[in-house]
Amino acid sequence: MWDKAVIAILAWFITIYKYGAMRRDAQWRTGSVTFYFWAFSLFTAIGLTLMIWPVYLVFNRLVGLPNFGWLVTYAAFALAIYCMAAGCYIVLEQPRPRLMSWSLLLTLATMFVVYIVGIVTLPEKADHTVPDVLAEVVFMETIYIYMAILSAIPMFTFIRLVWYEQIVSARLRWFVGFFASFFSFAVLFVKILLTIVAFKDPLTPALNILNPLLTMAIIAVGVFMTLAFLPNKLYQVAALPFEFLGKLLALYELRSLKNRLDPLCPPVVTGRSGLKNTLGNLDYHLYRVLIAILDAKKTLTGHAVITNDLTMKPEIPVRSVGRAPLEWDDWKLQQARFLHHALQTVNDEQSFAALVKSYQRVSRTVRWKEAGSFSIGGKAFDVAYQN
Amino acid sequence: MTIETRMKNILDDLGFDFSQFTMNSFVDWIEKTRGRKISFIPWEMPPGMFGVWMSDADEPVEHVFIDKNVPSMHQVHIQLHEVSHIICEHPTARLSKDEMGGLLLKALDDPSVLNEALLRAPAKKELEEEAEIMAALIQHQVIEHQRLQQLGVAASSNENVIDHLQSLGLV
Repeated sequence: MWDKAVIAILAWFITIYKYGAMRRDAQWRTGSVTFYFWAFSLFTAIGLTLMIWPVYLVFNRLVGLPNFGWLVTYAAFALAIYCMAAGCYIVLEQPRPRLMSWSLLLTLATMFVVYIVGIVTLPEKADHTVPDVLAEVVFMETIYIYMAILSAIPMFTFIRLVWYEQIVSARLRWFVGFFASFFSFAVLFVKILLTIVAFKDPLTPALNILNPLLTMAIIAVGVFMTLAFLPNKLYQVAALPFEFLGKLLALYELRSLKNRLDPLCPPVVTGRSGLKNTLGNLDYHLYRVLIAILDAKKTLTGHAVITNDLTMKPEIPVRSVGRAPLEWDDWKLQQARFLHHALQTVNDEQSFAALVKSYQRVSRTVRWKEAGSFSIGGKAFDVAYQN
Repeated sequence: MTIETRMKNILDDLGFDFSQFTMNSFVDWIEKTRGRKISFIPWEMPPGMFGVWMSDADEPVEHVFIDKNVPSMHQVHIQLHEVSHIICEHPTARLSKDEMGGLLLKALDDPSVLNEALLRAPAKKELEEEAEIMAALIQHQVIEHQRLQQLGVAASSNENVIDHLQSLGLV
């Protein structure tokens, strides 16, 4: 009972904590993500609260209908998963399928009918894991199957968010969200199995495996669900080690690309920073190296316009204030053409993190191509190490 | 004294609070301290040119032309570089309204004529180095004060998701 009470308290904490944020959202009345996610936590809290045996009994006495708490619990969970899925469709910027609303109504109607026909007359029991009669099987399987199908929507939403996310702290949150939805799906999948297995043979040894699995999955859902609603600052702290390593790798790759561009498009300022300074100011150095690449890209693009896509040297040297004049021989011209085409694969109207990733990719591609086949007169060449 | 130390001293003397940095607030501050308005104008630039700064000989206005074809993050950098020239009180071409009008009219057809303006300015390598170092110092301050989003970094790479995170009170 205490495990359910703790999870219910957590759910209520999230619901109350996020109520202010939901009300501050101007769009909440018309169904915003904030509203749907808050409604999800509210319905989950209601369902979890009614799973606590004394609360369940008190509720049934108050209403005057045996097992009515069971119906309300399942209805609350059906609404919770519906809200979560509806919020996911907004995040995905996709229209919500009409089938989703109809399937909710059908599920609620089926449960209500089964409750009237076969559940209201049953004696109340604390453990609803094992069904005793067929009506209970239908009642339980209806909600489990409905929720299992809908829980796939958040799962795929989080996979997509993880896939496209460039910022480590946000990616961590999407991972947590994915695990929360994955374990929700696991809970429901085990429940579907367990209900049928236990109904056929309540003493089957399979229950010794399924029951602990179910408990672990429920605990995992509680933990990941709570983590998913933590403020961004905590995610930023958790992401620090990953970010540090990621930025270090990015800086190495971007500098490798910049080193290839420098001999072709000399920068205004040259100079190296020490290791301590670099490690202590990774964001700054990443930003600067990215700007240097954008500078070189713009210079190469300008040259491409006046040299027929860098197929010949410019007739008149291009003046670039404060920079050494470009003096290219055939060798450098070929390298310039090669790098220009590689740089053109990046759309520069992206966020900083996405730009870093894109130019990391370019740097890797350039290295691979050079290592593989780029050569002049049988000699592999690498401008990056010329000076 | 190294160029970097000199630039650091100039930046310190400016007395700007980088914990409140936005491009607009920074430019406002420079306008106030230098007593001249700064006007940014997106423009088609010739190859090899990123930005051009010209002083108005008739009014207290600095005209900063920025390459309109480069990405927004790069434009912010070019703006900072040109503003750095102003902060360092570098000399530049001073054109009357008529001269500037004529030059820009010609530049509409052939952007390379903007080079003429530069040829009239003492565009020494040392001045460019100073401006670039000053821009780098400003960027260092901005990033040190965790205002990197003002230069193009956000809580998520998906702008819609940022809105959702903000409305959920998670950012």
